[in-house]
Amino acid sequence: MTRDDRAVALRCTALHKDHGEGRGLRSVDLEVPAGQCVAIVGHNGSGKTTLLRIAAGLGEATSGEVSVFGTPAGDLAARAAVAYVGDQPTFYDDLTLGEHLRFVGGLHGAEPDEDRVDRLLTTLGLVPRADDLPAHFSRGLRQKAALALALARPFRLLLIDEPFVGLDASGRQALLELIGEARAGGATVIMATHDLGLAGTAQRVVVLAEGSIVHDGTPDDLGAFMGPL
Amino acid sequence: MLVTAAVRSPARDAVHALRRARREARLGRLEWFDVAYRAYLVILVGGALVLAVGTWLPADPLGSSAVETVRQRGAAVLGLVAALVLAAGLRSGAHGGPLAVEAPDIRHLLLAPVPRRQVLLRPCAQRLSSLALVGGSVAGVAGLLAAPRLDGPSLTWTLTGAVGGAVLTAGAGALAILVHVGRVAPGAVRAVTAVVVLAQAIAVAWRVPGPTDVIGDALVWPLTRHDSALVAGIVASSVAVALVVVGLVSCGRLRSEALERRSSLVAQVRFALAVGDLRTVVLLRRQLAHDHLRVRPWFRVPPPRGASRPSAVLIWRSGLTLARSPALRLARLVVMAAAMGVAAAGIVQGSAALLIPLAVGAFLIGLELAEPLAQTVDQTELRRLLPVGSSALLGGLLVVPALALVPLAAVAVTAAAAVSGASTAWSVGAVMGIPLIWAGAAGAVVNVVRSAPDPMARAARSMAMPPEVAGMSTVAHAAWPLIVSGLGVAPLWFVSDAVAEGGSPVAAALRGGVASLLVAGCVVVWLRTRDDVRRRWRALVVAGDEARRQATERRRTRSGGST
Repeated sequence: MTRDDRAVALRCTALHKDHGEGRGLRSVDLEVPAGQCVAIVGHNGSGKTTLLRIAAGLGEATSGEVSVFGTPAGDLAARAAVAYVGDQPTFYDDLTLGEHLRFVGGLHGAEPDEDRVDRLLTTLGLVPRADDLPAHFSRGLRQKAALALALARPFRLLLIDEPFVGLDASGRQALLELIGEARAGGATVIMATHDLGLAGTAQRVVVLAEGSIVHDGTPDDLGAFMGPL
Repeated sequence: MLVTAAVRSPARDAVHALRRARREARLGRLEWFDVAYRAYLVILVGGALVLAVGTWLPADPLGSSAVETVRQRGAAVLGLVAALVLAAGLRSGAHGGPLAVEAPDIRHLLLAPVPRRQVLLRPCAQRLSSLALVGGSVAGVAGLLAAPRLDGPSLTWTLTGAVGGAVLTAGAGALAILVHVGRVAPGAVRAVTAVVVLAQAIAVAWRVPGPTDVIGDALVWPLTRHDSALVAGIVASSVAVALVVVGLVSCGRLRSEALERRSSLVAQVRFALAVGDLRTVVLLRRQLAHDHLRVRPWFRVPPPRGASRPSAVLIWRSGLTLARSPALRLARLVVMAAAMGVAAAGIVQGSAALLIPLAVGAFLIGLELAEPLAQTVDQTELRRLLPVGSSALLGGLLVVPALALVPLAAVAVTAAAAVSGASTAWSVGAVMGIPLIWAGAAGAVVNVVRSAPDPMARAARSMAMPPEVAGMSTVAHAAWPLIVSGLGVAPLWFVSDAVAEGGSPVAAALRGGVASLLVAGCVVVWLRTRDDVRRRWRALVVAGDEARRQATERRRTRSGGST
């Protein structure tokens, strides 16, 4: 692994994923430098979720290569670097939110940082729910709990799929704050979204259509590229 | 700074702590009375099953010629059973099995910087040991039942069965893991399993060597006492143990994507089974096996021209669904029809127990072919918006499936004639084949229509019942369609009776055919009148409630007036 490799948070080379019937990703080449904030936008079925899942190590590429800070996606080192918030928050039925936070922190070898966790829970409005079971939460609360779990552990690459789904106005504001905080801490952020407002907060916008990148530029360029969207 | 915090080496302790805490919490929540009740049910049902099988089998030791037949052909037959178990393992692996890990384990543990083998080793070991336990128990009981009939020592037969069954099922589970981690294409697995099972079936039918004879040889060792069979058993067991070890070593390479998909589907299948919803089980099983409808139909189904009658549109719609059936489903239908034919031949020769597989086969074929009906029934709201009466709608959707059953009846008759070799088999089949498969498949229609989403009705029913009664009601709800299928195929016993008493099988088949048609006819009448009857019943109940309310009101008024 070279220094260049470590400077690239996510590199996809000729990434191809076949879900059958022409769906999936088609020869995607993408390089996200460390510290960048990227929004991936596109229609339903354009391949945004597939791309994030493969980068997180949950999905498998049909062909091509995906690396995270120079190591193949899904490897131990890559898993240590990636925090992933999927489109379907998933929790153990029998653990409270607080227990989830302690458990996930422990898995990542993070020293318990009560202040950090408290601040996260406060920002997301989850303090009164810390001792409740997330399995019983509403959609919005589950989304917030999933965000808390992802952000409460060490990470260098944050992958968020449809971060605004289910969030109320204060939740959205809190999320933007937390993303800003992660960026300020040097993390790379990649978010898949339909929300062009959220995409506008990123440094770079990648547009996917039918599994291929059809636009890669700044949010300012996006206005000129509304055709395919 | 959190983002740049150093990551420690694998958090083994966190995984252990989580599992310990969850185990303790689970034990803490456990209702021991509930556990004892479940154990009691398992023992009761298991004991009843063993007793039922024991009473079906002849009680006295078999004669010398029968024992000789078992000695000569038993290995091939047990080899076929082994081939089917191994095929199930291979297929499971190709479809993401054999594990069904909890969804949060995939999201939190498998995405954490913890070695995957450390996370997956225990579930894999548990899965293989539970498979071994089930296989060993079933085969051990089979050995126990075989011993007195084959005049052998019970302990030897039971131990041979238990060890053989455990090794076979654990080996099949390990094969599933290896196929999964080896990313073997489902098509390749399908081809290999088809060749092995077919070759062994040929070995059974034509007494030629088969690929899994060696396993069967080992299982009938208490009867043959051949040294070669003992050696074969030891070698096969060693191979299975080696497979288990390799499977456990390589379990860290199980794929997250396949595990995630399977865990979600298996959780849904368990729930559907718990509530006796066979339709949902079928749909989920299709998803597990990647059994999807074709986008392009096998043949063009032209839409009805101009302003057509609803029945024409319904027939076109049903035709489209069946024309989109995947090749695997069509092949499965043909194999099931052939198996039904073999079972029917056995029934005519006097094996009443084969009525069960015959009924189940007809039911499963019906479930596959009733897909257009099921698709419409599943969409309750959509169905209510259609400007077609419910009875006409459901009846119209059955025309194409009923026609599709005709070639399958021909397959079943051909298989029955080939197995029995009797000259009358063709005539009996010609008379009874179609009515019997229609009546057998009618149970599936009952199942599809009764499992239509009607949550309020079911919830209301369940709320009014104590749990034990609600449980029995769920079982009865699930069993009733199978009973209808059983009633539909039972008239085949007339032919068996006629053969045993020297009567005319064709005349008996005629009587049986009429009886089967009556069962199918009753289902069609039920289907066409069901909604009307339910509507009238509900109106009656509402009228009764209203009358009661008015009477109470009058009593209250009178008593108010008198005071």
